[in-house]
Amino acid sequence: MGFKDLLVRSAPKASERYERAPHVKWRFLEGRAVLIDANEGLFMHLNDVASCIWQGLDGKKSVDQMISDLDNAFDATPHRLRKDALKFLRRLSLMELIRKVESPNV
Amino acid sequence: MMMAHRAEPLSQELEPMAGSGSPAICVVEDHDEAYHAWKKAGFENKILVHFDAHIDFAWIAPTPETLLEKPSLSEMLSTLHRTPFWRLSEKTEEERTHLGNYIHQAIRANIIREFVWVYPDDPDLTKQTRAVRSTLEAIAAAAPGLFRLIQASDAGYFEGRIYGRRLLAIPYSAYQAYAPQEEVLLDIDLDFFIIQSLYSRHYPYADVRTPCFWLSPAEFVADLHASSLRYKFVTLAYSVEEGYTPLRLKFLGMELAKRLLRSLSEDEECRFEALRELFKPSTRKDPESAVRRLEKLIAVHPNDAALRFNLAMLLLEGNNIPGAAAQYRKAIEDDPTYRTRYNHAGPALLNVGLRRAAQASYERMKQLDPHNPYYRLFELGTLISEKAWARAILLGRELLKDGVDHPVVRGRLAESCLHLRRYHEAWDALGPEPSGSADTAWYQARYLWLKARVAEALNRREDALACYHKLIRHGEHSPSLHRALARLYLRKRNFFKARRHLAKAMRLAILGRMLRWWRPKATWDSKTS
Repeated sequence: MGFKDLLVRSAPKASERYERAPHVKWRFLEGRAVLIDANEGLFMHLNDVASCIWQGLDGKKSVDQMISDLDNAFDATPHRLRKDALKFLRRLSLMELIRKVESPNV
Repeated sequence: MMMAHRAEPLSQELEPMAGSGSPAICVVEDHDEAYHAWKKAGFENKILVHFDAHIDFAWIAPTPETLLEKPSLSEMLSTLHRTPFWRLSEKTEEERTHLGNYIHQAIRANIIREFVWVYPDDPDLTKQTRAVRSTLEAIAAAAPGLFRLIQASDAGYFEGRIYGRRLLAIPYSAYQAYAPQEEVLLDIDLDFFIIQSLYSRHYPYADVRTPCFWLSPAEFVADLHASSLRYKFVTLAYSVEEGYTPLRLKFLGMELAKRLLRSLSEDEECRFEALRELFKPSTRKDPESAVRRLEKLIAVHPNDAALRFNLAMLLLEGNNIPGAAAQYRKAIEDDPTYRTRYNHAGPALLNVGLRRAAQASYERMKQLDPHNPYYRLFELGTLISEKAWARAILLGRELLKDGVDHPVVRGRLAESCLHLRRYHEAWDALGPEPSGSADTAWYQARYLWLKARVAEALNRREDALACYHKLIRHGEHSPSLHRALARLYLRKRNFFKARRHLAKAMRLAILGRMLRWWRPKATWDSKTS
C-alpha cells in the first residue's frame, strides 16, 4: 500500500454506497440530525446540508444520487455542493461513523 | 462476598401482624435493595425519610438514549453541558443503580416526591454542619442542573431541589419537628447508629474503624413513636457487603426490626443489651467478663448466631484460637451469612489503604476459617504486588478450581499470564465480561484494560478497539487510554483518528501534570497513612 493510497483511502467515490455505523445513535431534532458516537464519547449536531446527507446514508443510494438530491434541495452551485458533500463523507468515513456497503441491497 | 447485580432484592420481609397496625419491615443486605423493595411494593409519589450517616444520592449520568429522548436541542445541550460525556454507558440507569445512588433512581422513577435526609447528631454542630454542607455543595457542583441547594442554616438545616423535587437535610435532633400530613416511607441504615461525626477522619469507614454507639435502637424507636411521623413501610439496611457496617453489628438490624414491630421480651432485651455492651470501651478493658456473659447467654440460646459470632471474635482477640474456631463454626452453621468476604475488617481496611492492618485482619480470620477461599484473594493480591507472577498463576488457578469465580481472580490470573507473555492463557483466563453492577465497576474497568492489552498482544485489533471504546463509555479518561487508541488506529492506518487520540493523550498528560502541580498539599494523617 503506497502513501498516496493511504491518503485517498477514505475518499468516497461517486458510485459507492455508504450506510450509518450501528454504534452511532442519532435522531432528527428541530430539522437537524443529532449524532452520538458512544465509542468515542462524541456528540455532534449537524447543519441542514449535513443532516440531509446523513439522512440519505441508508446504504441504498450512491454518493452521486445523494449529491443530486442535495442539488434539488439547496440553492448552491453543484460544484460547491459536490465538494462539500465529498469532504463531509470523507470525514464521516475517517471518524468511522459510516461504512461502505460492499454489495448494495437495493 | 461481593455480589453481582441482582434484579430481585435479597431481602427479608417481616410482615405486619394481622390487625396490629404494625408496619411492614424489609431488611436488606445492601441498601440499594431498598429501591427494588419500594418498586415491588408499587409506591408512587411518597415522602422518604432516610436515616443515614452516608450520602446515598449521588448522580447517574444519562445514557445516549436518554439524551436523544429530550424534546429539544437546547434541553439536550443543557443536559450534555452538565454531563461528563465520556461516561455514556451502554447500561440502563436501572442497571447502574447501586448503594450510592439508589435514592436518585427512586426519585427519577417517581417513587419519591420529597426526600428528607436525617443525619446523625454530633456534639460539635458547627463541624457537622460544615461537613454536610460541603457534601451537598459537592453534589451541586457535579450536577448543577439536577441538584440545587436553596437554603442553608447554621443550625444544620438544609433545603434544596433534586430533580425539581424538595430535599431536606436535617440533624436527628430536629427531625421530630418535621410533621408531614401523610404516611412516609422510612429508610434506615444501621451505620446511622454507629457513626456520629461526618467530619471524622475515618469517615466514611468510621463504623469499621471507630464505631460509636451514639444512639441505641431503643432510643431511636422511642423518639420515632414520640414524633408525628406515620409510616407503614420501613426498609432497614445493613450495608455489610461493601465493608461498611461490621458483621458483628448485624444484630442491630434484628433488634431494630423487632422493636419497630413490637416491644421486646425481657430475655430479648437482655440478649441485645449484652451484644451492645461488647462495643463499649469498658468491655474492651475487661473482655473476660464479656466472654463469661456471652457464654451464659449461649447456654440458654444455643442457636443464636449473633451471640456465637461475637463470642468467636472476642475469643480470637484473646488468642483463644480453638475456642474461637469452635464458636465460629457453630455460628456459620446456624447462619451461613456470617461466612462472607466481609466478616472482618480486612476488605474495608484495604479500601482505605491500610494494607498492613488489613493483612493482620486476614491472617487472624484465616486461623478460624483456613479454607475460606475468599481470604486467599488477599494472598493473590500480595503475590501480584510482589510481582511473583508464576505463584500468582498457580494460586489463581487453585481459587478458580475452588469455585471462587470472582472477577478479581480472573483479572489477576490474566495479569500474571500477561506479564509472563502467556497471551493465549491470559485470553482464556479472562473469559466473558463480568456482569455489570456498580459495585463491580472497578473490576469491569480492570477487566477491559487487561482484555484490551491481551488482544493487542494477540493482534486482535478489533477486540482491543472494542475494549478501549467500552472503557471510554465506562468513564476512563486517561492519557494511556488515548495513547493506546492512537497506536491501534495507526496500525489500522486511520491517521485521522490516530492523530486525534494522540492529541487528546498529550492534552490530558499536560493537564494532569498541571493539576498535580497546583493541587494544594494534603494534610497528611499519620495514623491513616
